[in-house]
Amino acid sequence: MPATELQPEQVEIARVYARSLVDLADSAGKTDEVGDEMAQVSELIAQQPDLRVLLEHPALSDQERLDAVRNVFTGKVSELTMRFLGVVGRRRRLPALGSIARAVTDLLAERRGEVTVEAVFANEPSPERIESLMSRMGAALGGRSVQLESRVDPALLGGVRLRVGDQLIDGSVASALARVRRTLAQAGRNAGASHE
Amino acid sequence: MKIATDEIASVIKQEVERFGAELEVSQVGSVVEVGDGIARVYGLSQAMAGEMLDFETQDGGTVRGQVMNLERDTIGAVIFGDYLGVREGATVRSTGQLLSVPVGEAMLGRVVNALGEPIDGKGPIHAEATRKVDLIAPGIVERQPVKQPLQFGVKAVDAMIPVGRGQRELIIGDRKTGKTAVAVDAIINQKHTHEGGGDGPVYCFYIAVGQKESTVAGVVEALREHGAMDYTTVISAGSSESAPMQYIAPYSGCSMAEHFMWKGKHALVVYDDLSKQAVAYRQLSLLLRRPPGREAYPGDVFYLHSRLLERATKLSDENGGGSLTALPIIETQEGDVSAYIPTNVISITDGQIYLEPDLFFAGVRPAINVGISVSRVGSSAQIKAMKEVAGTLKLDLAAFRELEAFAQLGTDLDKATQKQLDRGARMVELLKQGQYAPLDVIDQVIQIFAASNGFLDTLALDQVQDFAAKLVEHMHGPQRPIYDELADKKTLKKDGLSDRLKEAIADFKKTYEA
Repeated sequence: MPATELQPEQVEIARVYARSLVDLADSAGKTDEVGDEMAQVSELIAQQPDLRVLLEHPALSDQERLDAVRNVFTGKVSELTMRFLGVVGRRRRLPALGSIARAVTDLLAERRGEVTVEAVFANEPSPERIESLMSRMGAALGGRSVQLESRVDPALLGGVRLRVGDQLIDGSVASALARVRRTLAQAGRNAGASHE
Repeated sequence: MKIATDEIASVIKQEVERFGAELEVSQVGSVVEVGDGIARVYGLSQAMAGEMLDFETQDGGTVRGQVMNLERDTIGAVIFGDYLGVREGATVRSTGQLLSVPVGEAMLGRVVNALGEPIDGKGPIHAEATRKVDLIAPGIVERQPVKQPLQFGVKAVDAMIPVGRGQRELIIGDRKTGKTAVAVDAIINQKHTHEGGGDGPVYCFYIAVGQKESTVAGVVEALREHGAMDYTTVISAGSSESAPMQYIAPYSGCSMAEHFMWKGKHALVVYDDLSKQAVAYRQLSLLLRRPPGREAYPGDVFYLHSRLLERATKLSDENGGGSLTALPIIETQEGDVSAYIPTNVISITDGQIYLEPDLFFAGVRPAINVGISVSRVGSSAQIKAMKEVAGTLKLDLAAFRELEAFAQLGTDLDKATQKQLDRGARMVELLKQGQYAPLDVIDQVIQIFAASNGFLDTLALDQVQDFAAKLVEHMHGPQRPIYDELADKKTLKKDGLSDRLKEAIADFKKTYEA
């Protein structure tokens, strides 16, 4: 998640916009459709650095930004989403579009009772391993359905590191080694003390 | 340092057995912005105010931090140590613990930073225990009134502004008026308490906040030279350290001193100086976007100092009777004591020693203005003999200064007035004292006794210091019995001691003048 999306002011604003869009989508009966579209918007912004620059660049006027967004999305998203983008643009909140899109997906996930688990593996996990991990995490989290965002980082050496919200469950070999290292250094210091 | 291989082998064995079975579960957040020793962290929704944090640095290490602000989605935290390695997006772990520092005998003789880590190049410190940094001061039931003297070894202070063990006495004055010198003299003078004198040994803590490293090195050198480092810990958060380190240093030092106090021992803490700590706290408060108040200080700057100085205590006998004496130092600008921080600290402390540049440049050193310096604990922190000789000293000097102003008009003076002027001038001369030359309290009593009984009146002004020094030498030598009796009884009023002392001084004066 880019750090600008975490700015508390932006998160606050994004929540308000997200709630209004979701409410509108609910009354129009298009919740899933709008949700999918906003998820795509979020992904697009994350994958296209140029689009990010376009949205956030201070030298562009708000009108230019709005025109650009219209060009990109016209015909590709539903009318409701298009109108929503227009409002965001007129309210000069397009730089926060990434945060808003993410807030929409988060809000919908929360409603569905889904939890996102970030998992980092040392090497490419087998499908069975992911399957068992997901079912066990689901059980541990009180039967909620688990969305797994997995990533591979060889620096872990072995094991897995899971993150659910603010909670970090670290079962990686790398951090176990770091722990051994700390304990040994401590023991070395204490041994030094008693033999001085 | 030798390392016990069997001990390490057993640790390895334990670790290997547990390896893999153990999961590390922690609360994490990520850094949104960082700079100037301050970080904003997203997440960590379970974090508590004042909790310690571990920030991951670029090179894979960690630095410690502390939660200061709790906001809706983020927390504001300060970083202790090198914050340059912390990057946007870095992982932050909560520890569930409060900041604590190593304490105990092992800290004595060492120079440490605000976290208690050694910075004197003498290897690691093997402290016996740790103690939380920010603790609540003892309550009323745990205390008793201040009653034992803490001797500064400075005549002007011990005679007129007596400080007791457990008291908070402010040292205030402009820059370059000798504030640190008075405090360092007080530390050096505690040497006699470690050699069996006084009311038990006093352990000293010198906390340098926002000072030049060269100044601190100078103080350490002076302490070492006079044998005072054996019972002293220097806690330094120099001006090159980050604001959070300068902010926390006085609390760390106070905790180290409290450890001795709760063991029934005595501690003396010098905070040099609290104005710089307030400035550091202002900096981090503004960076944390706390609203500024008067002189841009945050609203809780009074609490910053009051909660620190409240920890100076004389504990009740049930609690071991230990004490913690605090000597905060405040630097004024152009003698302005009505600025925000000086008035705050004056109102918190039990009195102040006021140093003036005018006196300093007139050669009156220590440059203490005895007119507006007070000690609210008063004579209960003095030995009897000192009370007897110094009772009227303060008033006499006040009267002298008034007359002095008159005399400058050049009017003719009657004999009585002239005599009072002569007496006053000699008193002022006697109260001058060199740096790093603390004087034993009995010696002080003898010198002031001689002056207030008129023995100095007939001497030339430039002879006063010499006479006083030689008188003390004489009392230690040929007149040892009287000296010992005085040191033993601590009063002049019994068994005609006062008359015998007068006689001895008169005899000495004859030989001196001859």
